[in-house]
Amino acid sequence: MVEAVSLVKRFGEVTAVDNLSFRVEKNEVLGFLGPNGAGKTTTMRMLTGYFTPTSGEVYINGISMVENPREAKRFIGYLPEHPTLYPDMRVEEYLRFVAELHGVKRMKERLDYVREVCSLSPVWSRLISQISKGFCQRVGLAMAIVHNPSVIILDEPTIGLDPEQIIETRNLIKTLGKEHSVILSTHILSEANMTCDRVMIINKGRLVGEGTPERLSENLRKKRNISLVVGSEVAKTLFSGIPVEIQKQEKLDDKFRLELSFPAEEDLCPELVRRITEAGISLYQMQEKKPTLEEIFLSLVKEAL
Amino acid sequence: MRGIGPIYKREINSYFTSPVAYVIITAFLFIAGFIFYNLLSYFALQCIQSVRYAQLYRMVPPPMNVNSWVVTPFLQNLAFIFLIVIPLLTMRLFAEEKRQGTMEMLLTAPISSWEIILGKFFAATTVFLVMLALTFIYQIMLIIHGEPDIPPVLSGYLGIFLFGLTFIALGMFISSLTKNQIVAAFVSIVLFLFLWIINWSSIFTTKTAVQDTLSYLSITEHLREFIKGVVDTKSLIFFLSLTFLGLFLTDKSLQIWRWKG
Ligand SMILES: Nc1ncnc2c1ncn2[C@@H]1O[C@H](COP(=O)(O)OP(=O)(O)OP(=O)(O)O)[C@@H](O)[C@H]1O
Ligand SMILES: [Mg+2]
Repeated sequence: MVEAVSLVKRFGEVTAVDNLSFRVEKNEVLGFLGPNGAGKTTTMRMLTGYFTPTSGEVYINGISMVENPREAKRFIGYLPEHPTLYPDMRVEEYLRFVAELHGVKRMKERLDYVREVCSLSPVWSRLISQISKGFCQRVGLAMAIVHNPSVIILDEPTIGLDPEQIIETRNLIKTLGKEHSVILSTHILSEANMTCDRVMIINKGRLVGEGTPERLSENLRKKRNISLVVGSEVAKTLFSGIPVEIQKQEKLDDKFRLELSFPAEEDLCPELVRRITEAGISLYQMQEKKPTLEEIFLSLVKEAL
Repeated sequence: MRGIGPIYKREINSYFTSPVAYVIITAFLFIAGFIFYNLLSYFALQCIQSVRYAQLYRMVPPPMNVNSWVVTPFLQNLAFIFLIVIPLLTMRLFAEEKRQGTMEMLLTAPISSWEIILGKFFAATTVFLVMLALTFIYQIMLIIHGEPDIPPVLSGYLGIFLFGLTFIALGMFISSLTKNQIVAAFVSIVLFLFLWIINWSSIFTTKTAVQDTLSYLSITEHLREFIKGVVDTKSLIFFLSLTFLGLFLTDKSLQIWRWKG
């Protein structure tokens, strides 16, 4: 379990993280989403004890990172943003080194495990300076889980991987999320959608939206968008008196496609149908367009600017 | 203290898997051997000359002391070579971690910064001790073939060992201040040279307080005592406290790194 209380990090004039608080339970995957420079990496660096927060507290399984870092760090596995490794070490040697730093007991078993789940067999005894970037990323992931930590923090875990590995890594994260607390950061919204139980959208160091991916698209939707296929052209005056806007109207062979939007507070759908049919226009299709996480993300970030 | 072992092992491996340690040790042994050879040859020449001179004037040849002709100047030169060599050993200790970005892994591992610092310190000290021990072979040759006074040889070696610890600790601190190994080495050499000559300016003042302070701060003066055969607790404390200061400042430097990134 991870708890962050009013985390702030300033670098001189720049406030990289501005009063973030959150909790991640066991068996939960939390995603940090945000544009470049949002403060995701900085937040993770405070959670892992690499950066000392300017103010605020981090608790890992109830142990304060500020007061008792050596204890608190024992529970954490961390994949840094750029998993830079010692170029003069071999993959196995490096993972053994990390495991030793964590005081891993059943060394062989754990090394075999990460070799298997991170598909490291092809490079197992190669020098790190000679393996490709994608393999470095996998070694970084292996380093984050080799000591079987209860909290796993992954900064952009799938960056630089090939499509097959991306899928495998996402599945691995989902599996890990069943028994561990996982925090990951990503720019890829579909990835957050697929792997995370909960998403925090961060911009300029502040929290701008939070929830399950579905709830984010439900709750944060201010406008509803309806797409209709009708028999003839619709005049603007048809919707006088109700707050409906015609976004687009285009001709399809013998019909018209109409895109309407209206505020979400009031359900205007029955009223729309009534007015259209009363005007003698035939209605062939009516469909609600749900905004994607991309659209929500962009609108939230724009609002915060 | 669980972390010291793995850190130490990694550092030692990285010294000896790259050519760095071999190059440094070989070059060092070459220079040290050259100095020893020349001192010894000069000593032999002087011995022969003094015997001839004595024969010429029908006198008893004066006693020739191998300690003052070979051991003392050798140890003094050895210390000066270490002044250049130690920065080459310490320059990468933290600068390279910072440049590579491996600092992030080290500082998020469940070990204290003291474990990292001591692991690295002991590793550099080990390489230094290997070099020092290799030069001791020359002294053993002297002991086998000549009759040096042994206690000053041992206390001289103790002095150089303490001197090395001090410079390793200070060099490691300087390495923790930068991402650039070359800068770390250069700044270390300049600092060490300054500590080496700090008491030179004492001839320009007549105030005994200033003179005393400068000579207390002078590495050379403390070392000279050891090489003369005097193990003075004042000098012992001087070296050990400077060593501790170096380690302490390294710890502070890591704390600042956690603040500023
Ligand atoms: N060591 C540092 N010194 C000064 N400023 C820093 C430092 N590290 C980060 N920052 C600043 O803090 C802000 C947040 O950076 P951070 O790396 O946390 O963003 P991010 O969300 O991880 O971005 P990205 O998606 O590009 O990885 C940026 O404005 C960055 O310039
Ligand atoms: Mg980042």
